[in-house]
Amino acid sequence: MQSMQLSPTEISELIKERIEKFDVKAEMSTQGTILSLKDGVVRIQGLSQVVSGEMIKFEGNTYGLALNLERDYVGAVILGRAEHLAEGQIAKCTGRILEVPVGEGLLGRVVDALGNPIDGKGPIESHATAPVEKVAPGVIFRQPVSQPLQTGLKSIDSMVPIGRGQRELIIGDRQTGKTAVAIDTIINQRGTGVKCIYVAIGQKASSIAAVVRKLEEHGALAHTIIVAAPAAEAAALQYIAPYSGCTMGEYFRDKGEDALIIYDDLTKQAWAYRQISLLLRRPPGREAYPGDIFYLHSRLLERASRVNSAYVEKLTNGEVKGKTGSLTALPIIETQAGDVSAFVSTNVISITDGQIFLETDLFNSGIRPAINAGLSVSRVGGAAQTKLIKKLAGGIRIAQAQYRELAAFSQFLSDLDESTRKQLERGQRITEVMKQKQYHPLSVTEMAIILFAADQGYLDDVPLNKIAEFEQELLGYARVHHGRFIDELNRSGDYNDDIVKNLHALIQTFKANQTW
Amino acid sequence: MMTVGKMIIFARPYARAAFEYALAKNQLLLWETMLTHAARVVEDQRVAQIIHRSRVASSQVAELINSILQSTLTTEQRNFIHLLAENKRLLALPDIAELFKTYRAQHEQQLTVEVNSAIELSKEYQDKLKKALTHRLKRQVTLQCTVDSNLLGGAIIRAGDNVIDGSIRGKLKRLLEFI
Repeated sequence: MQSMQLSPTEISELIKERIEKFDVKAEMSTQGTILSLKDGVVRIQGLSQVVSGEMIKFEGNTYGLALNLERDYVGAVILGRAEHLAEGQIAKCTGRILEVPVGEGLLGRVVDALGNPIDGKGPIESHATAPVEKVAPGVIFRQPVSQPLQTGLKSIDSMVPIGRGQRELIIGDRQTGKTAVAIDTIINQRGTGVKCIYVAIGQKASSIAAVVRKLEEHGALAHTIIVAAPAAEAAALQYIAPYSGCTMGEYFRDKGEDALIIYDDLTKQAWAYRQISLLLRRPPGREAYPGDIFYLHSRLLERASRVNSAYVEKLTNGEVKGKTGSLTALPIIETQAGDVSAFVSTNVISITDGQIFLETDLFNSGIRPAINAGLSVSRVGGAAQTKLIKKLAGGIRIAQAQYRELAAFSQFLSDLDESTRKQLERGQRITEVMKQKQYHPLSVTEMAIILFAADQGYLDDVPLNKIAEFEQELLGYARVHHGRFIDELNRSGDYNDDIVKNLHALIQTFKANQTW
Repeated sequence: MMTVGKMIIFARPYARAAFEYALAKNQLLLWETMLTHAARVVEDQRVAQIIHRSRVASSQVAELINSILQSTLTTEQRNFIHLLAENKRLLALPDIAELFKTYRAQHEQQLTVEVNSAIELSKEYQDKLKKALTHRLKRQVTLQCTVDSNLLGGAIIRAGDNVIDGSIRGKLKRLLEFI
């Protein structure tokens, strides 16, 4: 709301300006009439020149999407409220496909699936729009993923590292911390130049508000766009929200910048699409999903990629040279009772470049993030890690997976041979190290310090329940007394004998001086 | 603009068949008249009731309709009605008639354009409009002019699905949405 009141003369001046900009020409359009209106789906008769996916304009500035082109009528879904529409009303073709505003003006704002602001902070300053459905970059324009996207979470950055341009699925039951992983990743992008987009599909409006508030608290809202299609929105809007978010992310990718997009969650988008397809009388397939449910997700996730500098140069008309762009996607899928073999889950697993599998049992036993090291994988892997972390974390995932298998034997600790016992004890310590508090992402060096300590056996004499405390004190000590070293190492991410010596010295001094 | 009835899917093959036959025999106008009349007969409440009664034999229903339409029918047209009665598609006649009209208009390159203007258009203006539309739409244009003072000025020209809205009322509406 404007804090200053406009005087009547100012208002009439504004209106006069607007009128002058108005193009007073006769309007030529193809029209049809609404035959029936049911459950958000409109049947329109006429519209002989409509094309698939075209925007249809109804009364009262409401738009629809022409999805079913049949012989005698057109089936369209309404993008928004339908209360003011009625049978017999005129529907017009617009000749345009669905577009959303893109640009830096969207950062820090909360918008709906069509790009309209819903945070009450005034209109969006955007000078460009882009179509919501776009073809993904071709093979020639892509570049292999080699830059890390730091989530700040020890378990992810060491065991299932994510690279810029990768698609990594976060999959798990409800209340296992999927959104928490996503939010921590966004918070950790503060100051890195990576723009973030959080697409909320079918969630409670209160949950979305809580996310916005948390991001604002941790100073992460300024580099984030929130696209919200809460559960009360029309199914059509929940269906296109991910595509709108992707278009906004592609704007940064095509400029040679890096962006991160989180789809929370794609299961609800699949439900919305199923609802629309069934109402459009398209034949249902497995689990009543329409036949093109795979295509729904594959075309969305293929747009998240790393593009080479030639592509960026072409799209910016030569303005940006020598820079590659990337759009990393973290789709979230909710499983029921840990069933990853359900239809949509298996579809998305086969599309993405790896998954982070969160388990309820692990979560309940206090291991948070509740990552199952055995089932989680990143197909990009070490190529997306800094040299430092790669050296220190190599083999941790496999070791942890093996440890969990052995864990049943931990009851017989005294009866085991030396090597097995050592493996169990090391596994227990690593598990403790991997636990992390929410909203406390770590930098690369901080992670390296604690991983180094665990790897070199400095934790072997620390009792299990004191490891978290140990880590906190160690890192606090390091930040105070070795701040420059940390900053330098954060910048280089290197690993050599000098650095190893420094790390040894750091930890040894800490242990000697403190009461450990 | 054609209104779509529920029976259009059933009407299509019959309309196509009737049209092709009539075209071959050069009887387009004859068939169009007959179909329009038959459609009106079927729409009558009393006839519709009889059609709905399943106990009545189809041939009897057909005879009834043919007798109403009287001797203006050719043998083939009589057969057509019989066929419809047998297949229980008599109620599709209104749609068949509409479709037939569309096919004929398409064939003869005829197009009826509705012109709704704020004030009465002079003969000279109408002719100018007709010529421009014929040239633009590449069809023989017949103008159907109506006057509606609510348009405030200008006119709305409707040719099938395409509408050119040059009325003042339309412009004001768009201006309102723009602001």
